[in-house]
Amino acid sequence: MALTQTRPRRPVRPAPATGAAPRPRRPGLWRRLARDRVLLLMLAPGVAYFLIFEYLPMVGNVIAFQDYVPFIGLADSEWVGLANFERMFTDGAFWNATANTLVISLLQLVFFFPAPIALALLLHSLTRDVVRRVAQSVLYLPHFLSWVIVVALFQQVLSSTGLVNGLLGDAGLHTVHILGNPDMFKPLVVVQVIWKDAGWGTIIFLAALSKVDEQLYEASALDGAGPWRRFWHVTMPSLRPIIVLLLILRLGDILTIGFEQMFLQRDAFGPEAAEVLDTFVYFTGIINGDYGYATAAGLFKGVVGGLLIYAANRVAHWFGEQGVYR
Amino acid sequence: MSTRPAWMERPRPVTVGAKGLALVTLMALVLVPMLVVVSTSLASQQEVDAGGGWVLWPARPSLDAYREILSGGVVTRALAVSAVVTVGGTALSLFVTAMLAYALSRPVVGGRVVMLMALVVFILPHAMIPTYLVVKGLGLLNTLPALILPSLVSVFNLVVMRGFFQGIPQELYDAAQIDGAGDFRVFTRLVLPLSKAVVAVVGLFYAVGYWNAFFSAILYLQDSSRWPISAILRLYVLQGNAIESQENLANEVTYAPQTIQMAVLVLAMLPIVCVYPFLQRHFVKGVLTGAIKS
Amino acid sequence: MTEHTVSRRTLFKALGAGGLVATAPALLAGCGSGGEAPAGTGGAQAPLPTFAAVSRATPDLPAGSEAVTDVYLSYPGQLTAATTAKPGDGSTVRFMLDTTAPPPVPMGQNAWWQALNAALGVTLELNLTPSDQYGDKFAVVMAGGDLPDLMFIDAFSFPPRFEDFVASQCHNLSELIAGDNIAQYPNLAGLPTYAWRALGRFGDGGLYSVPVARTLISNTLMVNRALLADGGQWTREAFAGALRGVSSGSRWGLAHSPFWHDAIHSAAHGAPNLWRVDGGQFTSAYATGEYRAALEFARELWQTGAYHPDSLSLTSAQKQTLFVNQTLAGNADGVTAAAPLATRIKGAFALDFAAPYQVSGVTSGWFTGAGAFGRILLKKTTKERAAMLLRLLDYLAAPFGSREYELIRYGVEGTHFTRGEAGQPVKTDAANAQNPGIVKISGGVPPYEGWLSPDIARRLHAWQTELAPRALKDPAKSNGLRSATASKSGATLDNLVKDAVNAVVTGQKPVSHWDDTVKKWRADGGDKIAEEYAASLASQP
Repeated sequence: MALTQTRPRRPVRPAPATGAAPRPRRPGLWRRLARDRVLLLMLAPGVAYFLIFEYLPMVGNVIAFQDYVPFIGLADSEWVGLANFERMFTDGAFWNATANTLVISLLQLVFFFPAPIALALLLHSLTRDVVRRVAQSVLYLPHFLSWVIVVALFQQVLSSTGLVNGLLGDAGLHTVHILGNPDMFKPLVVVQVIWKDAGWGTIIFLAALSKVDEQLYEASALDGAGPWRRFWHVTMPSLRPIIVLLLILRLGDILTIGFEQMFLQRDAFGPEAAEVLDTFVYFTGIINGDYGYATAAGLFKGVVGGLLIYAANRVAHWFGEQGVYR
Repeated sequence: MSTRPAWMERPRPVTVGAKGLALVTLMALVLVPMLVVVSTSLASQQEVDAGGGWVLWPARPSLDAYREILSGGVVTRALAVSAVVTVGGTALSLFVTAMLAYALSRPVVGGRVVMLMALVVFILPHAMIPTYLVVKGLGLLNTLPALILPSLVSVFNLVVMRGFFQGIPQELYDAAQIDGAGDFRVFTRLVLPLSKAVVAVVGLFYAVGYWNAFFSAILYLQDSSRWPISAILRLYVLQGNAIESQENLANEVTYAPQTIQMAVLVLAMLPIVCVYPFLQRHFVKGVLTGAIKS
Repeated sequence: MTEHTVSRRTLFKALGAGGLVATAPALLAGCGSGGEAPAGTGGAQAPLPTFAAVSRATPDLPAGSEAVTDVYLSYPGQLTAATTAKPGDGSTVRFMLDTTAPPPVPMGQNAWWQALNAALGVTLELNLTPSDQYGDKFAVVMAGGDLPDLMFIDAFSFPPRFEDFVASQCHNLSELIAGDNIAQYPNLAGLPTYAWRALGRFGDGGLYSVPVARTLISNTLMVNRALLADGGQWTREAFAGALRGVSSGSRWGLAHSPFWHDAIHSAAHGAPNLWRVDGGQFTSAYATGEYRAALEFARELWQTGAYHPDSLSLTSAQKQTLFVNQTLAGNADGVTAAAPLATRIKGAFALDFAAPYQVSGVTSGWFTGAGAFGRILLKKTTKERAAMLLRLLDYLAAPFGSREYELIRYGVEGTHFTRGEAGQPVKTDAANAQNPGIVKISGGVPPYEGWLSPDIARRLHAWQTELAPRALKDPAKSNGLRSATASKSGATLDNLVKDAVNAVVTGQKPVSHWDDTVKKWRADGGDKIAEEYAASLASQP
């Protein structure tokens, strides 16, 4: 992203000089609006979208405080205050689901998050054009399979009659019991996500890497830097901003880890290991038509996510990054 | 032909070997299951049954499954709907998002407010029933814009795009200002040409998003003849999972064989697989092909 | 008839309750023969429609009881006419229902759909939704307020405050179909009474829905006779032994699933079908010793390796495939799955239906459905339009062997089907694409069309007949009872039980976990549901 080695920075107004020179007065609001009118026009469609299709429906989040019944409507459904939240927070299954969600999210952060980066670096370092293009055109394909198919494929490979156990059996080794084994659930879902989406995730990083000026590599090579030092001082700084950005966004989403993948496998592994927040909300709220309860859970996720984004953003600033906002 | 630049060292054989091994393994891990999917779509029901639902290589490949699903016209129609929604949606989304991202990457009155607005949307996405009521209230039910407008801007894409725009050095803006260019011209003449990579990437993300979206179609379209291919695919793929209940099992089974399911899947993937290589060249440059000169 | 004399007091009471419209047919019906008498002068419960068998071709293998399906081994040569006039009035009728089949060709290019419109005398607008998302779709339609004319919903799926929704937004059909009023709709009158009863009453005791009826026995245990030979009636021990014997490292007897566990083991051990009613009191099956014994037996089976180790990951389609390629020696599935499976098996082995094993000292039942697979609701409208819509539904309920049935199920001759040698319809290639998708809600109680696989049909019929005396319905469903607690958290409670059954059978948890679960189930709502059902039953005529 940065075409220079210095960190990208937003253009700032000149700092007030110490000494006799007077501070430039900040132009009034109307002056700034007039000056920025083109930019404001460019903001307009997006803001209109947010207001109409996001903030207007967000009013609907009030059903978290109601005993909402669809045909009675928002205005007339009974107000229950914090009852939905109370019911949620006193349910042991809710905390179990939240804990599972957090553990899986953290495992994904540690194992899945770096995978596309490593893969992108590998692809980027290939010198043969053909090889690189072919590899890229292949590795992203699993992203397009729906989870139903991915889960079925994994079952085919890992089941008692599947590929892995077949090979182990032929080699005379002890068979492994993966499907239905609660201890294997969390590793399994992380491996599934890596297989499905690591290739797709390389796209953003490849785009970032493509913006690095070749002359920088040349210059540092001439300075005597070997491959590792070039990587550390040229490649990584160009990736750092986007990595930080994606990390912050991922933290904001930390309690969301994909409904379908979990739903398809929850029954097989049992709720203690495999219930995540989204499936819990489905089985306690949505399936009963209790949309108020489901919305309460959504608000809980939003609050946690918001706090995490705020915290992560501050940490990013501390490291000198832009973060998601200043 | 390897075009290694002069400054790059000759790679050690170990490194080449390791990279090669890694690549081959990764590609095999991806290609073999994809091959199984395609093979299953070309196999006969008998082979599929014998293989427990999947076939590695069909003994007698046949296009029967494809013939059957393409004969009705349902799939072709759905592909057409998907194409229209995807192309139209991607264009509109890119247009709005790019402008938004650019404006937010510059110092602008209220920029921080809008950015916070977007982040709130990110953590609190819209819920099903209220969004439906808004769409209904706007009179968009049963129209194709209902498949585009409710998800026009993705905050994730917005943040990524803005991040890339922020990386454009101030010197270029200063130069443009000296030339007397207004904000919009700076956007179109300076920023966008420099950002082909991120535009291609975000465009791809939007396109795939629109292509795969099925829920909004089912919710907002009353006319099932306008379902996109994603909805059709979902129907086929979920057919074999009958809900086990006394009442449901009394019903006649509409059962799509595995071959047909895989064939629909392949047809749904084909357009993206064909389009992707063209987009790829915009965001992939190796260490060799250099970057944009000032 | 003294109790039905309309005294001034009764009339005032009825007017006071505002239920004159509902009570009138109740009073009138009580005066006639047949039908069900109203339960006193308080809340008048509309009597169920009077059954009148509809004439049609005699089945080759007639059902001896409501639990068995009629079987036709040949298509009738002469088709009857099930309706006398075109039911529609030329207007547009919107019908919302779910589907598991791909959507049909749009009406403009769909010969089948257009033929239906012409025959029905309306323009039928079908609003199809995949079954998976139907719950959400129904919720948004309820929230949006723009209801279609006809709505299909699963018979025992009750969105929250469903009663209020039906009573306030749907049309009360009592004056048109209660008691003898149904006579104007002969095909609907031919629907079995058990189906009407299962749908229950709403609001002020009125009838609001038309059933989509089925026979009672809906599931079966199919066995591979090459692997599990027919040695007569199995005892429990022999059954376990047979499954164990057939199981090796790469082949297993059965696959476990919570639903099938109940259907096979709980039933065989004498547990009731979800509820047992004793003098008006409801006891849950989960609280019975028989249910616990069935769990212990299944757990043993799992431990001896008779169950597929990945059972919980297998979908119904996968289990069918494993049955076809002989990885599973038995497969419990719906009765309608037998014929397609036989086609896939292609004679590699003999497919048969197994009677439940005998547990000593126990009279085992066979769990069945309540006979109503779904209900059709009408949006609140004028009496004339409701009458017209009912005429439409009457047409759709035309029985097998009628011209109407052939059009709905098979389409137009020449375009969508041709005649085979015995006169039976043979689908053409165009058929699937143009099928409008209303077959599942039509045809009254569909018989078994056995000419494609007569052998399976005969065996299935014999098996059903053998099991018919043991058919056990769920008393809550079959009496059309509803419970507020069940609507609010029934699915969650079911989930609790399902997870516990899985954990205990697969050995993850000890059997004591089941006892804890039952306690939790009862405390979290199970006991309340029992009370509510009891109250609901008591208030019924």
